[in-house]
Amino acid sequence: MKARPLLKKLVWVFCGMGFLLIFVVWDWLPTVKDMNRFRREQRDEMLKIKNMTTLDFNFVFPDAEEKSFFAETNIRLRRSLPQMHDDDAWLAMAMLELQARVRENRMASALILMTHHAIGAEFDVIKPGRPAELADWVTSQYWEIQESFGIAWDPGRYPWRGIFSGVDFIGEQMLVSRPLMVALAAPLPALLDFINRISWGEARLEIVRLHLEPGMAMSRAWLICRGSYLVRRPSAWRLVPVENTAAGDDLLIDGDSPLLWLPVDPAVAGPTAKKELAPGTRAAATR
Amino acid sequence: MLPFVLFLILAGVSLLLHLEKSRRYKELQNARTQSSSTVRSQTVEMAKAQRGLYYQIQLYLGYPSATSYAVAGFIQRLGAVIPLHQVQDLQIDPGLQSFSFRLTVGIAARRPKNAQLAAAGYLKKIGKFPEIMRIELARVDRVPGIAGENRLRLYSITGQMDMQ
Repeated sequence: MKARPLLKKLVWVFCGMGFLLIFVVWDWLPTVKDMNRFRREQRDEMLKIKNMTTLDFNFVFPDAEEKSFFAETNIRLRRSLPQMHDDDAWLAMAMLELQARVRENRMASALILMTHHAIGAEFDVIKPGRPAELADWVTSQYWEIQESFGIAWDPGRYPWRGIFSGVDFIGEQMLVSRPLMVALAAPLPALLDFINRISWGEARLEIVRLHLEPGMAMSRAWLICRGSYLVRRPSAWRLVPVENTAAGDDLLIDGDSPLLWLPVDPAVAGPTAKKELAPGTRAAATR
Repeated sequence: MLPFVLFLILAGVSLLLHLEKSRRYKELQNARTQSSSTVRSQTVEMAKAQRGLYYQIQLYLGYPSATSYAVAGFIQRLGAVIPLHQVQDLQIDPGLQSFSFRLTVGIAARRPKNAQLAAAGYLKKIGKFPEIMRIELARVDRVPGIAGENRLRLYSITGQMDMQ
């Protein structure tokens, strides 16, 4: 009989503890969690304000010298784009350049291709009789080449759009980017020299994809390249301007980088000079 | 009576916690407002944009020659660590600051383990190039041959290399 009131008390105690647990789990813990989060976020905001104030204080505004660097770079940017009457003119220029390079680097055979639609139909035979073997090899790689052409002329993958978005082109000039393929057969050192120098001309060809099959005597390679230029006449490869594209949209530039708070240093950020390959390793490559 | 008192105490603690939470939320909102109202002057943003564009143009101007040099140089260095007769093909896809590559090597060996060891050796040698950011080895295929003789086994080495 004495156990009953004790049991009753125990039930009350357990009920009370259960009630307390419900409060703790359902209300107090989430509230405390939220409070801590608010405090952390507030601390971050205060730190941000402090950093911003310090950076604003340390910001170095461009002086006349720095402004002259900007102007000079803009001029170099405009000059880097060949100004052509139409697509054929650029093609002729690029072809002449490549042919000269082929002769200079003594390629055994070379083929230049403008479009993937007609492999074999648009070969430029540099040395009559020789490129047939190369043409067969290129034909065997049709699908891979076609895919690579697709990458090169996809306007969505053009990385420099943002840079040109702020440039006023003269008159009715349009920015164009088009692919071009060159297939080569030569001893590896000569081939590597050609690859290294392919971008040195006026056409400023950018390598989009390179496929190489080294051989003991003769190595073979095909390169899909991209060239940018300005034309006055309508072009199938015209880069249609994209709205809301600001400079740097496609390039990895951190807007909060401390580098942007200091004057630019042309010695540090100058464009890479054209460099010849090291002769020592050239010999190693032939082994 | 006791349960009611207990409930009141618990509710009171809850109320206090919610009041404190609300106070902290208001403080956070104030900090956010203050942060967004710390307006950076238009001239600062303009100067930063000009500098950003300057670096991007420099990248654009140097990109073609830097890429072709990096690609040709990489092939040269590969030739120094892998016998060229074992290289089946090499594909390189340059990006803005790095390029990815896929190298297929054919290794003739009587036992698969020997071929695998040789492929792993090449992987190690290429992995020592300081610009290598990522490198992986995968078995591609085995070229048919007579059992017991040296069979050609193909391995693919893929990776990414910094162009800076």
